[in-house]
Amino acid sequence: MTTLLLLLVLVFIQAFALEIFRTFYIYKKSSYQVQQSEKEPLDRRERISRSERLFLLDGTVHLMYRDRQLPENESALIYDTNDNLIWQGDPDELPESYLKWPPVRYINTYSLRTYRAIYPDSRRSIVVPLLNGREIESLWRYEISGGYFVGFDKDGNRIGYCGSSGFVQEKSQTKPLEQPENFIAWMPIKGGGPVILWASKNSLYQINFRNQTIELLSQLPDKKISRIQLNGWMTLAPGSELYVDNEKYRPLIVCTIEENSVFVILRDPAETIRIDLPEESKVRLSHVTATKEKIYMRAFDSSMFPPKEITKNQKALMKWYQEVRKKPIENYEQLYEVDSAGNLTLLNQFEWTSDPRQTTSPENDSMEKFRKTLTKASPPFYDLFNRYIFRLFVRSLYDTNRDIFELFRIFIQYAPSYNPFSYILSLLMAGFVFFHAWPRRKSMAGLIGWIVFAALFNIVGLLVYLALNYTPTVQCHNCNKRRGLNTAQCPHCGAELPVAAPELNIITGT
Amino acid sequence: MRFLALFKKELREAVPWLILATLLLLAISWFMIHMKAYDQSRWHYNAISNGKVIDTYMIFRTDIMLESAVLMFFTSIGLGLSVGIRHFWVPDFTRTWQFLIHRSATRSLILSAKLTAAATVLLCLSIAWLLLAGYAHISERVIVPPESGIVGLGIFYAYLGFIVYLGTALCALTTARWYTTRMFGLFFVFIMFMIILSPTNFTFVFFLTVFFLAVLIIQIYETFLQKEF
Repeated sequence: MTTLLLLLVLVFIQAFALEIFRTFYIYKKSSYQVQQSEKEPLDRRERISRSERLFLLDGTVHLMYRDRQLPENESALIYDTNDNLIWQGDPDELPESYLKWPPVRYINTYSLRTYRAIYPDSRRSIVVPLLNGREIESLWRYEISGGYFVGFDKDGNRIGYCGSSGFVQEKSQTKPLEQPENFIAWMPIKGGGPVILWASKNSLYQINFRNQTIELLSQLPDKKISRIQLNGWMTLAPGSELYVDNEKYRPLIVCTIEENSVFVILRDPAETIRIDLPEESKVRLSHVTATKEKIYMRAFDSSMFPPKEITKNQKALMKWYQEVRKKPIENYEQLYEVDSAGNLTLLNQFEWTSDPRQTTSPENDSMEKFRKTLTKASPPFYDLFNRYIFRLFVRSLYDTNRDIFELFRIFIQYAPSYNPFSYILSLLMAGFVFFHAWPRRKSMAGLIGWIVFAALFNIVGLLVYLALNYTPTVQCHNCNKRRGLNTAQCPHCGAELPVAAPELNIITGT
Repeated sequence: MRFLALFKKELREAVPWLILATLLLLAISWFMIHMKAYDQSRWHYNAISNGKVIDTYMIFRTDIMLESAVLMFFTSIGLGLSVGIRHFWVPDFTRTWQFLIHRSATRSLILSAKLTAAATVLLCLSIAWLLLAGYAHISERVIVPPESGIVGLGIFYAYLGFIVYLGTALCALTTARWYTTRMFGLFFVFIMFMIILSPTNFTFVFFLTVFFLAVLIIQIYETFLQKEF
């Protein structure tokens, strides 16, 4: 217990020092640099790399630039690829001729798991209201333990259950809905809501609480849905946030299954398309949109995306990043036309080069230097744990058990990273323990155990050793060497401690 | 019989604290549940209208017993602390020795009577919590009854109160100076709280608390058996 507490105290001191450094040194420095950079003009290359690519129906690409750093220049500027300014105005009123794409973060990605902490203050449940005007008609709560919704009328009586099998009266009839990874709720413009799009790990449901219907839109038993985007799927009021004109665009949901594979669910007419990009493609961030006539896919590729064969090898990946980040970045944005079988036809490709990415800033370098200095006193145990246990076993817990992972990560952050000073310090501590414990030893196993302990935990190890083993020493009457008073026998010669003669009266001295 | 006599004596000393804690919990929680039920029934969802996306915060709602659970958390900690002080610290063991003048008892028996009494006290607090949850279930004012998870958490908090009791007991039993390692017992419990409060995996948290509980019981047992009174 003492060891654990002292290790925690050491971590607290290190964390405290790091935060002080960040607050009083880094913060001041970085705020000064931001003020300087705002005044510098942007060159054309930088402007192109910061622009948003807009596509016309025939594949022509234009570039929309907004200077977000200067409030007076907030209007959007649209240039063609020859750098001629062709439009200027409010970015919310772009010409209708450009294709409209689903936003990158369209669906609400609240994880229910984060609302299940042990301390109750942050606990939340999903409760869907069914309203009649402004009055509550019923409330439907999602029961995590059972995986179904339970309905309560305004008097608190149970009115039914909703699971993957639909709306039923008896709990025994319901089948569980998987916990949501993403979901979004809306009220359709013609009434009859609320409607929820419920995306679990590999299923997608649409639940209408007013009509008491549940529809399975997609189920991919062996695939995980990593991202969902909607374009015009929700029938919203014109002018409201996320509104898409359904007269021009077909409602669709895009489920990203893997890096190179998306699943598109379309309405009017109902259609499902799976789009698989070629295996060798490094394309990321695919967007799909569908007009009444055609389906389009937009894809982005960059030289900053590592080749697939490298991503599995951590060392090779780090080496690759170190080399690539020094070079200018080659970017590609492509527009494809998609047929009903999911085949792609390239309509246009726009290429541009941007400056090498500064993956580390001077502030980060200073922080890293300070952290390295700070962790010189950290026990080598952290380093060994990091290299031989954490990387092999604990890192895999990141997805399955984030709590345990985070607990270990606190210590790993302060690992000395093969710092020679830390190991030299440990050797010194182990040497001190050896010289201190030698005359006090009870057994060789105990002595070796304490030396190893001090070597693993350096300062903490030494303090724990001293706290538990400090005993005074005397000179042995037999061999004249120093010996501890914690054992009856001298560890050098085996002689017992001298005892008073039985006839000696210590009071009278006779 | 000696155990039962000792147990009753320890329980008698802890009962005033239990009554105080239970009354506080029931009275304030009853008020909180009624306030929340009133809010719940008059909940107008002003921002919800046809043709609009519903803000997720409208759907993620707090439980009817959420505030009561926070109160239960602090009440059980307070009860564990006060019973621990009462059993081991103030007024030391004077009453225990007086009680044992004509009753010979082993140290293990004395310790187990104290621990059983404390566990009983916190069990009674969790029963009060269950009664409160039962009331929230049957109350006509409440639309959505409390979630089973939050009711279970209340019982878990009573168990955490017992661990606080053990931490207090260890602090009281140790002979170290207050400015050295005397408060390590409570500091140890504090560390446990820091680790367990934000995680969401209950099984992980439970086994972690069992570990802390085991460490504290072993330390208390060893210290109590070796201490010179």
